[in-house]
Amino acid sequence: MNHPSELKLERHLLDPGRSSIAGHVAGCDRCRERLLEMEKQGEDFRRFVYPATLENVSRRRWTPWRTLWFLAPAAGLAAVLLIARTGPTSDYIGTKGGALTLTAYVALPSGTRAVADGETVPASASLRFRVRTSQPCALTLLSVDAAGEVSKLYAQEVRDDVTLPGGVRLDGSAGPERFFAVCDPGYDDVERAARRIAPSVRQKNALPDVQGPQASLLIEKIP
Amino acid sequence: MNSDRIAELYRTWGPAIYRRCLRLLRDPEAARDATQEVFRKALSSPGKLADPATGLPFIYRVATNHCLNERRNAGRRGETELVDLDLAAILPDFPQRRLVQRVLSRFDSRTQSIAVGVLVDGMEHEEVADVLGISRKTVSRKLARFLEHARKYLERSAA
Repeated sequence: MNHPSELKLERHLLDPGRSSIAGHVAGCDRCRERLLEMEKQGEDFRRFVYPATLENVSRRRWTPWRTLWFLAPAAGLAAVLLIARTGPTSDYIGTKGGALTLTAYVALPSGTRAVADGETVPASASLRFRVRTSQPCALTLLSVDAAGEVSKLYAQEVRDDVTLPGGVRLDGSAGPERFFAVCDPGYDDVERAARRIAPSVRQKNALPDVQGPQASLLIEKIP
Repeated sequence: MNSDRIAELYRTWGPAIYRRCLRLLRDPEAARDATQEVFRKALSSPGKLADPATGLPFIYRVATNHCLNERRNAGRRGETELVDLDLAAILPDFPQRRLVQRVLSRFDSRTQSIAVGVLVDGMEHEEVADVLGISRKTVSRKLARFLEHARKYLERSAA
């Protein structure tokens, strides 16, 4: 007997009235038992996990971005064109590290949004970046693609929580591209390290032999 | 997005994320931590979360990727092993499930998601394809490759 998948059971729980598996569930002890277990786990979430974690998940939110996205280009600051060679498309990059975090935002027809690490974005999308650092930092932000092409995007002093001016536009070619934010590096060292990790750009999320805090984000460019 | 809206979305999707993480991590504490991380990631696409039709496959994909990464990272860090995935019941040909999991860890994250979707969650190929945003043919091809490698690996291990 074929039983509904976990995903179908989840759909059933979300909206039993429109469930496509209601008939099966009614006659299947195993599925009813699994649904009861799932309901109990959901109840555990509501009773214990939700109250303990709500503040934490709410803390990281980025409200002013949609506005800033459109205001920042007017500042005329380095709307860096990232003429991407053979590289991936990007959306955004996640955040990493305690001392330095990096977030990328992609402009889409539906609006501006942060992109999760490893997520796909249109190959010609425009990105903006936000960094947060616990100490003043001489920041270098660069990207590297699988072909080993390194693009230096920013080099400037930052402190606290900063949206970098302007933005970058991807080159339109498909593939992975990883962005690195590094505090107080020697740029040549960073560039060399970035080239070294290029063959494994999807897997390597840290630049080897580079001093100072760093954070990275991977995007996958799609045509 | 304001706090009320975030709380509402968390109430809606949190249980499903938590269940998914619990199923893959098999540890309530690890699932609790992972649930927060997955929800934060999912919040970067509020449009998808607003629509029930797209929200569930989306969080399923994000949670699966995150939790499989967690399993992999826990192994690399040498931390206490997370409880095995429940593969044995679904793969009677592969009684040595620990070995099967070792095979799983040798594959890329997409293949892992496919293998877990089909072999652990009992999803049809088309369902996995929808969730991952890939073709059914790709699902079949990657799964066949996974199973072939698993058999070879087990044969070598048994020899």
